[in-house]
Amino acid sequence: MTQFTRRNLLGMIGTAAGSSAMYYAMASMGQAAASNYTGPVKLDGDPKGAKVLILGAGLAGMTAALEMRAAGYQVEVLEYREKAGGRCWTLRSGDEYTELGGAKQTVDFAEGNYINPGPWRLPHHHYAVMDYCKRLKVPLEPFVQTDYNAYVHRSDAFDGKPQRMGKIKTDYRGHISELLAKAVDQGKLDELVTEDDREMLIESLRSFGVLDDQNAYAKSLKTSGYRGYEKQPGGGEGAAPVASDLYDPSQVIQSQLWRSLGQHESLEHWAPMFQPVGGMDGIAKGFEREVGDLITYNAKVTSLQQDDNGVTVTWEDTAGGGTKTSTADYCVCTIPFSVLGQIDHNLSSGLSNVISSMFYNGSTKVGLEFKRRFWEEDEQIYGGISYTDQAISQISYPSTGYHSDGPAVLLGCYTWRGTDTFKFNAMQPAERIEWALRQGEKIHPQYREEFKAGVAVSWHKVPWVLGCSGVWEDRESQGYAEAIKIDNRVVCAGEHLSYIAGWQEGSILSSLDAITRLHDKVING
Amino acid sequence: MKTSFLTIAALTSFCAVAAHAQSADMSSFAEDTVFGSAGYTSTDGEVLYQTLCAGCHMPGGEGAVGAGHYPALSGNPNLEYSAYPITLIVNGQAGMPAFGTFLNDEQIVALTTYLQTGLGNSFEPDATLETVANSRPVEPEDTNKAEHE
Repeated sequence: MTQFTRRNLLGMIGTAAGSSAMYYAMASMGQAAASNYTGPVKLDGDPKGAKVLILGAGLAGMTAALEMRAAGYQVEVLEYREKAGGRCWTLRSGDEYTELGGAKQTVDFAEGNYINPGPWRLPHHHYAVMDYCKRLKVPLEPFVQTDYNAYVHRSDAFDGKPQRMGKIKTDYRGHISELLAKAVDQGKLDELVTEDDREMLIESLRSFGVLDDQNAYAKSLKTSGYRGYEKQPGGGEGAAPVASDLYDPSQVIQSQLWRSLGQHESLEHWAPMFQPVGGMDGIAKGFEREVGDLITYNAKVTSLQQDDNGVTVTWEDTAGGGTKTSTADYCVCTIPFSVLGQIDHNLSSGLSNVISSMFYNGSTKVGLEFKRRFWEEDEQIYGGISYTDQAISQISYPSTGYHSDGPAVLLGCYTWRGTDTFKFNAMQPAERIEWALRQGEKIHPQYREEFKAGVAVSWHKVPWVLGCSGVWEDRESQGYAEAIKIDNRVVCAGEHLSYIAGWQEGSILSSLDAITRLHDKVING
Repeated sequence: MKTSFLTIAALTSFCAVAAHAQSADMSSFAEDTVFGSAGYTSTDGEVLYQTLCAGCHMPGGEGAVGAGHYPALSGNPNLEYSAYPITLIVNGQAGMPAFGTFLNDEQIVALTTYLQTGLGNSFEPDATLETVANSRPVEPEDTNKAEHE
C-alpha cells in the first residue's frame, strides 16, 4: 500500500468514526463522561518529509507511528522485543517465555488457550482504546468482571469456607439498611434528615436492603430472591421454593468479606467491561497490521543523543548482531523510564531527574490450566472473579467458551505491589505456580485433581520493562509537567506519563497528546 | 555462620517437604514463605535477601540483563561501605522501589551485613542501626499503596 492511499484510508476511517465526534458533543452536553480523547487525532499541516524515530512498539509507540505516518512523516520504529505490543501481551499454547534470571517457561496449554500477563480487561469508558479497537477491527467480547455466584473468601471468616458473593452482598446490605432504617424511624437521625426526607429514605432502604414492612431484614422468600434460596423454585410437583437462613449481622460485619464487594463498583470496573477475542494482544496485532512495516525488531537501544540538527540513536541488533545507528529530525521515546534511565542520553536535566527517580511497581500473574471447567460444572461460576485474602488475591474465570469440554485456563493469582508481590518475584516460576495451587485449592478443592499446566509472570523479572508500571507518589512535586514537555527534539510518552497508570488508555492518550504537541512544534515552530 | 545456616535450611526444607508432599521443586526459601499483611518478619539477612532482593539481583547476586539491567551485587565495590546500600534499601533508586517502609532497622542491618559478607563478598560489615535510622526520610512515602488494581 502506498503512503498516499494509506493516508486516504485513514482519513476515511476518521470520517467514518463519527461516533467519536458524536460522543464529544454529547460529553459537552453532560450526557457522557468527558475524557481528553476527542476522537481521531487531527495532525493538520505538512511536515515536509520530516523524519520521526519512535522508540518502542507498544501501544504508545504504535499509536504515534500510525498517526504520524498518516500525517506525512517518515517514520522508523525500534523495538527491543521480537514482536510488537509491549505489555499488551498474550501467552498462548506453545509460546516460550524466559524471564530475567534465565527461567524459561513453555506454555503447555491446550490449543487456543491463553493468559494475558499484562492488561486483561477494557473499561467501556476508555474511549481511546475502544475507538482504536473499532478502527483497527479488533473484535471485542464482554469480560465478566462481576459474578455474584463467585466467591469471597477469607481464611479467618466462616471457618475459611468460601461464600458466594451475592449472598454476602445481600446480607451486608440488608443488615445495614435495617440499622439505618430503624435509626431514622426512631428519630435518631433527625438532625441530619428532614421530616420530608424521612419517609422517602425509609422507603428507599426497604428497597435497597430488601426490608419488610417493619423495616426488618428477615428470612423470607423475598430476601431469598436476592441472596439465594435454600431450595430454588421449580416446576411441577414439590416445586415450591424454600427460603434460606440469613447470616447474622455481626457475623457478616466481622467476617470482613465486605472488603471484597467494592472493586466492581469502581468506575474502572463498571460493567460492561470488554476483552479482545482470543487475547489482549489482538490490539497489538491490530496496530501491527497497520505499522508493522515500520518496525525494526530485536533492536536494543543503547544511546539517545540530540542536538540542534537532529536525533541520533545507537542500538544493538540482538538478532543479526552488530551496532547500528538511526537518525531522525525528531524522536518519540516510549521506552519505560525503568529502562531509559539506564540508557546513555543527553536529555535535559529536568526530564532526566524524573527518568532517574521513577520506580516501577511489580505484579504477579499466574495462569492455571485445568483439565475441565469444574467451576462451571460443579459450582455454576461462569466468568467473574473470586476474591480471597490470600496472596493470590483473586481467581478470575474465563469469560468465554462456556460449557466447552476440555482444558480451560483461569487467572490463579494477581498481585499488585506490596510485599507479597516481592515474595513471588523472588521465587522461580514453578514455585509461584505451586503457591497459586496451594492457596487456590482452599477455595476450589478440585484444584490438585484437575490441574494440567501453569505459567507465572512476575513483572519485575520481565526483561523488556523491569516492572509493571511507573509509579508517581505525587505528580506535581515529582515533575510530571517537566517529564511530558517536548525536550528540544524528543518527547516521551507511555502509561507512565498519564493519570491512568497501568492502563492501556493511559499509553494511548499520552502518545496522542505528545505527538499533537510535537506536530504543532514541527509545523508552527 | 554459613554452615549453621545450611543446616537450618536443610532442616526446614525437610520439615516442609514432609508437610507438602507435592512440592519437590520448592527451594526452602519459597517453601517457608509466609504471605500477608505482616510483610517481612525474618531478621535473617540471607532469608531477607533470598525472598526479596534475589527477585531482581538474583540468588547468587549475579544481577540480570535485559533491555535494562539489574546490577550484580556479588563483587560490587559499592557495598564496601554500608551507608550506600542502606540508603538505597531505605529510599529506593531509579526503578528500584524503597523498602524502608516495610523493613525495620534491625532487618536492614541484617540484610546489609549479608550483602557485605555473603554472595561471595568479604567486606568488613559496618552496618549499624544508627546508619539506618539516619537514612530514613522525615516523611516516608508509602511505596506500596495501590494506584491501580
